[in-house]
Amino acid sequence: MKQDLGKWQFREYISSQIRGAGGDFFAPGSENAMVTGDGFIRAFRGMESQTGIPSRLYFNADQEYAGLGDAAENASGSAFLVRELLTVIGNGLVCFNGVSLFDAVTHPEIGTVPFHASDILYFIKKNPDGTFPTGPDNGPFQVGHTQPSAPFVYPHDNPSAGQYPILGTVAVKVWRVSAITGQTSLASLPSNVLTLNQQSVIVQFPDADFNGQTHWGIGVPKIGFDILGVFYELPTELQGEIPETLLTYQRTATGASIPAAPSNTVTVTDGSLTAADVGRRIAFGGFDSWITAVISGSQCTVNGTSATGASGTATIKHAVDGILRGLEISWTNGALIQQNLVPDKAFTPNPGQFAGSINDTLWLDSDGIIFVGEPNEIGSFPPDNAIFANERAVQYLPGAEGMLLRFGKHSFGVINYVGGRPALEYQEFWHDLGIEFPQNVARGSGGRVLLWLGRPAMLDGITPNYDYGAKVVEFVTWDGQQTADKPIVPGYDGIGDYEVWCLGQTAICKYVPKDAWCAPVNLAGLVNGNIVAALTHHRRLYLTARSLDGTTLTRYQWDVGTGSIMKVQSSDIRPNGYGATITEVNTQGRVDNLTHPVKIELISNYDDAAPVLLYQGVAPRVGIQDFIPTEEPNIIDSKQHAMKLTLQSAGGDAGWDFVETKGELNEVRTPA
Amino acid sequence: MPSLRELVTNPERRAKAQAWQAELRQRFGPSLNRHPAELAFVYGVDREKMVLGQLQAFKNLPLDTPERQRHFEFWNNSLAEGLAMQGRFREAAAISCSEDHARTYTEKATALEAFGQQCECPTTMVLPSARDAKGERVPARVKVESVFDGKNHISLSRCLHCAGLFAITE
Repeated sequence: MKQDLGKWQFREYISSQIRGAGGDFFAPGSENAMVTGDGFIRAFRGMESQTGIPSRLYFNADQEYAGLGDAAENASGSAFLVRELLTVIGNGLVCFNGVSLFDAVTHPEIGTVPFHASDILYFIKKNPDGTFPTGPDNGPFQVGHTQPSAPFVYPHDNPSAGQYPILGTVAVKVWRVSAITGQTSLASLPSNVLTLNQQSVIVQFPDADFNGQTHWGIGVPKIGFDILGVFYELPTELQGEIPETLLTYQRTATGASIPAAPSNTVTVTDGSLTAADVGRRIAFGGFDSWITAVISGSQCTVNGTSATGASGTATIKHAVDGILRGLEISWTNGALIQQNLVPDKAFTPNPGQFAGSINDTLWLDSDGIIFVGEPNEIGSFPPDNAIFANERAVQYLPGAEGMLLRFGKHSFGVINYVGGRPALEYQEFWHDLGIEFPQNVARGSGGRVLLWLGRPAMLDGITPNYDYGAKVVEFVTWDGQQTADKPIVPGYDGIGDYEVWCLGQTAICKYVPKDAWCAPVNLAGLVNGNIVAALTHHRRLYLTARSLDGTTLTRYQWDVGTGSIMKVQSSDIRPNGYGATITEVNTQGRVDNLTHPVKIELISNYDDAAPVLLYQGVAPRVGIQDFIPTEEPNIIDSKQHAMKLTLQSAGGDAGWDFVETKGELNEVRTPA
Repeated sequence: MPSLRELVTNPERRAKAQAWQAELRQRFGPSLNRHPAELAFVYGVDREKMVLGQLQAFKNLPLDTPERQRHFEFWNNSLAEGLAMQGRFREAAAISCSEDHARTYTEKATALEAFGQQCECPTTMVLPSARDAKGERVPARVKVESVFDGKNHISLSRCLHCAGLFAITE
């Protein structure tokens, strides 16, 4: 009497279970079958190639993404956005939103002479159009500034209006300031000492740097203390911070001339002289002096004479009493009350491998020594503000609740913002266990951490949960296969809610809502080379493949494309242990095209290599339908059987819903 | 299972971590102190490498617009600064497109090349003093900058009498 022998729905992929035990799962031999609901599977949709320059490491930054590395160079390091500054450290070609950073003025062709990261922390300023070109206005600039030379100071006999006459000894320090970052340098060494007698001070500044400096800060001691005193920031209302452009002011005046000595009157024909020119240097025709008084727009007196007279177009440069790059300052001791001390913590950072920001604080990891920046400052890493890890980091991952996860080859720890000095705290949680390559760790569904620790694991608090991947036996062989150019790459597809694990041209993913693994996805033919990087951006998963000859990187969107060949091999049924004669097979499935044939095969007695073909043909229509073999099977004495179902999708909805077998059970045991 | 946040903020765990960090800081902290000139040297080496890459763009590029000229000058000035940070002032002076910077680099290069030589001026000078009718005697050499060339720390000092710049051992 015909009876039900087996009925399968396909709820998940399991490859670590012994054969013959049955169950509603699909087994090894399956391929490209994605679980999308409760017993609902579909064909993997494919991989869609993306435009833009791919990278070896990705970082979400400023609603877009940054990348490091190219086909030739593997990458390690950090790229992050802080205050509209793309900040990078590590190695590899730097890209933002799939475009390399290059000087568009000097080289308009994209990709030529691009910027590569190094072990010094650099930043590039963002343009209003959202791009990061390199050049004089944008950088790349090294974070922080080097300490400037000491200034030179001169007494100014008759303090100008608004200046305080000073009585006593003084000295001055200066420091660099960037309006781009607000960052200062360390204050300079002190200037020479002046003893003033009802005089003000002319500070002569050293040269500005080409590292984004826009301003100068000035520090002074209380009057009478000179170099022995504590230096305070001169209040801004007393010109404690001045723009570099003030010091580099320069213009020309046409038709300048001076008669031979003893005249000290200079005439210009363009009438451009003003009272503001007093003190400025004027040079023309070999004559060089400074303006002591302006008589009219066309005439001034100068502090010198010309033996023979001179004429020409004059260059007028900013100066005070003829002192180039000079500035007149003065102060009272009362004005220094509650002023900050001059910058003494703005040490430029050491070379490092990783950096980032937490709340208001930057950090930089230099071989396991984590330099913690001063709050709200981009380039101040005082050496006494460091925390220590036991080994060099392999990768960092932003954690939940403002924490930062640090992965080494043999350790795992957490950096936590606590405020104060140092503002960060490090706690190590594991020893002797870690990740091998930076691509080995990623965020999964709901922000949980996925990491490869010899097999796939998920962090439960701080404990790696190995049950996570226990149903997939294929992972057992993966660790020995990964290399820097073929790393194990976890990633997350937020659209389908899949946590995807890639090695070479294979991806195995978990459908998170049902905690169900999908069949391995065969990427051969869909991608050019091995998967080397993953990026989840705007909830979509992008995978980057590196060609086997190492010359090309290509970025693909996961699970979007023209479809795949989906194979589903059911678990094994062993009807009553005596075997059976299988006489009927019913299947239900969905197809999205009338081009590719559907194939139904039956495996009997574990002969996976020679399945019995029951049905092969193009579906009569698209959509859900039954597939019944044209000829009923007659497979006798089958101790075990399983179904193998194959279809090829075109990128739409195609899959198998269930399959059932019917037949007659053997009454007695027969020899195997 | 406690959350990561609960574990990280656990007072006992924190106290242990802080004690361990304090010990490490005591052990390794002093070795982290780097002279600002050494930090500048490290920056200089990296700047040179980075800018040389960028300057490749100009190999066959005519400087036919003011903007191109501005960019060219920026990269060259940046390279010159990188060399100067390494104490390579003569090379920096040759490359810099800024007259002021080139002048400064040249002065420093000259001082370094005459390392150890100083002017004949008195080493002290007397400033008027409110406390002492004879005035206050102060050094006539002001240290203006420290330079590290990868091996040696060198002080650049200026004479207040003759305004000369001299290089001596730090």
